[in-house]
Amino acid sequence: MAYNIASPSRRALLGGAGALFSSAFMPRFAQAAGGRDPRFVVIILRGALDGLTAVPPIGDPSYKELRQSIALTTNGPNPALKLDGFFALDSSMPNFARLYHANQAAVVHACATAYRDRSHFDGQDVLESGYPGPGHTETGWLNRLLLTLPKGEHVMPGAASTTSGLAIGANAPLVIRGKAPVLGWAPATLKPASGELSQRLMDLYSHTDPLFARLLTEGIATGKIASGLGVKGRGSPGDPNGMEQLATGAARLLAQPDGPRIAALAFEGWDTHAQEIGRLTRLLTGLDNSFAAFERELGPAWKDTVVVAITEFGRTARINGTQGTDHGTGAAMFLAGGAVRGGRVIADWPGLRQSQLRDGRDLAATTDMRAILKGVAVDLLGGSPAVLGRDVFPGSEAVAPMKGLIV
Amino acid sequence: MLPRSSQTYWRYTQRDVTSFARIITGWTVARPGNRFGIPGNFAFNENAHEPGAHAVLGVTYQNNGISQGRAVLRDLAHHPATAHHIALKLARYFVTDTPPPRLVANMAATYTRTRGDLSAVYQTLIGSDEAWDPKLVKIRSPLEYLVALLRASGERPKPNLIVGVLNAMGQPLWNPSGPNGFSDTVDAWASSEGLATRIDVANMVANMPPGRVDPRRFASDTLGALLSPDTEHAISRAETKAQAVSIAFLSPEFQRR
Repeated sequence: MAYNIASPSRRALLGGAGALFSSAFMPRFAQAAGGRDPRFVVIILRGALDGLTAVPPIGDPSYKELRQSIALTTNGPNPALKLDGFFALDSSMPNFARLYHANQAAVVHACATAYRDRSHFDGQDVLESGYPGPGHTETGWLNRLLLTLPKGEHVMPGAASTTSGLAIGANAPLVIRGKAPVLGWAPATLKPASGELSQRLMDLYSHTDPLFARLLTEGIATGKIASGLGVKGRGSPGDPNGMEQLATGAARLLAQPDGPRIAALAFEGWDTHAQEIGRLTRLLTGLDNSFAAFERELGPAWKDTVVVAITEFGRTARINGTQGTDHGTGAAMFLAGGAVRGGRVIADWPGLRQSQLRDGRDLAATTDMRAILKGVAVDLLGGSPAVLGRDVFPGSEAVAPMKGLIV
Repeated sequence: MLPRSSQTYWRYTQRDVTSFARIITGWTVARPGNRFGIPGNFAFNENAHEPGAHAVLGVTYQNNGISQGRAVLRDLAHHPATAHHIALKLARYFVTDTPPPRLVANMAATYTRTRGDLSAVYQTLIGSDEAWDPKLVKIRSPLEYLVALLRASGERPKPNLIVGVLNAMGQPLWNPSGPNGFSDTVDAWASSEGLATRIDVANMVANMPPGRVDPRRFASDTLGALLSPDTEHAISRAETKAQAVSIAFLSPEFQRR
């Protein structure tokens, strides 16, 4: 794997904690699409975001009955923001709603990768590797995309050679790992363990080890151990402030004339088996503020930018017994940026009636996420459909790039 | 040097300590430039030795130079309290914090019978049923835990990181706060502070690149038959690979031994 630690000046520039990985092999895609100098950002939402809460299909007659107490409404409890007559948006995303109505943001709903099982790791491997199945963890599709794009002028010569080694705690998302050199940044200190982890440990210890359960309880009670739903170590990629810091740092780098053009970030904590509404309120706030940070910091480059937020799979259509949802299939993805032909929810809606659910439990997937990603790669970055189908998303020749996503 | 014990049949006093200190006056270490040979070696400086007979634990030792101190050490080594102390420490370390008195007595008897042959004592320990109880009752000390983490993960961080982590976990490398060394009981390491640090350390190692390990295979390979269904379940349901590896590292079966 080729990635490098940012120089001190870049570290200072980035400021916040967490990890940003962007291409250090930064060809200017000057010829890519109409003289545009594009920016492309991929945000991986680890843990399976519930698209039915983020972008609730309030117009679907089965929605309220499936979701019961966690159903969002237009003017009742859990009020949502209006998108169109059918879909709404979680109220923690006002920035995305504003971009949507300015035609600079779109949602793709009921979409999925080629993965149809329920393991987070395997699902993330498929999402990030770009292969049709798990087990390919050497390189990610974004890195391979970098290798296949038309080579322009290298805007940051020497970036890959000025540093060496890896910072402790740094872990480039698989999506951008590979042969194309990648610039990395991570904090020098211990990455704070997430409160989500301690919740899971509490569950494990309470079933297996009373002593550890007592110690963990004490540690949480005295504030030594981060805990709680969505309460993550400050500045971590599962904390709203951490997300915004990461996005701000990434955007400042991307905004530079000689900065990178492609970046990948990973936000964590989306596995909402319990207390989903409260948790997603925090997490979606972080994601929403991240979109706003990209818009703000990219300045004039925003008009040539696409930020996509993707997750490994969706969640069950029906509420579970702990005010949450479990691993499902059809997911939602977000696109934001001045280059997005926005103001729409792109969905071939499969419906939520029992007979329409996949296996009687999941929102079915009717759009292949790869069609969207390939569509952006072609129309924003000048990628070749044939190469995308062979090298970037192997075995996806039959999945045509979606047209018309880019202004 | 004098074993301490809570056993009531045997106590030493401050007089024993000062007597023994007098007996070993003149025991020193060769230093560069002095006349005692290779620097770092033990040396006896006759001129610094205090003459006279002294009593330790009721036995009077006549002054015969270096041999006076050696005689004390030999007697201490053969003392029944030493046999008990060594047996208890071994049993406590390898079996449980409060080992069955019968096991300790058997090991002490072996020690006494063989005049301190530790290999024979180990054989008594290994031959006991208690040593083979698969129940995990001990907690790994920070050093044991970190070594296990690094072995299991294959990570090889820089030495100064290892030293820093051991400091943070409260077991600075080769540097216990007292002459009796680091504690080997569960209570000494079972603190919420300690667990908080372990969580951070496990999380750090789990997030070290390249993170290509499959946590499910890793858990079954590393924990083997110890892997509980609860831990296996928690690992398989983790949100990210790194989180799954953290859970494996923080599972009771990995933290205990």
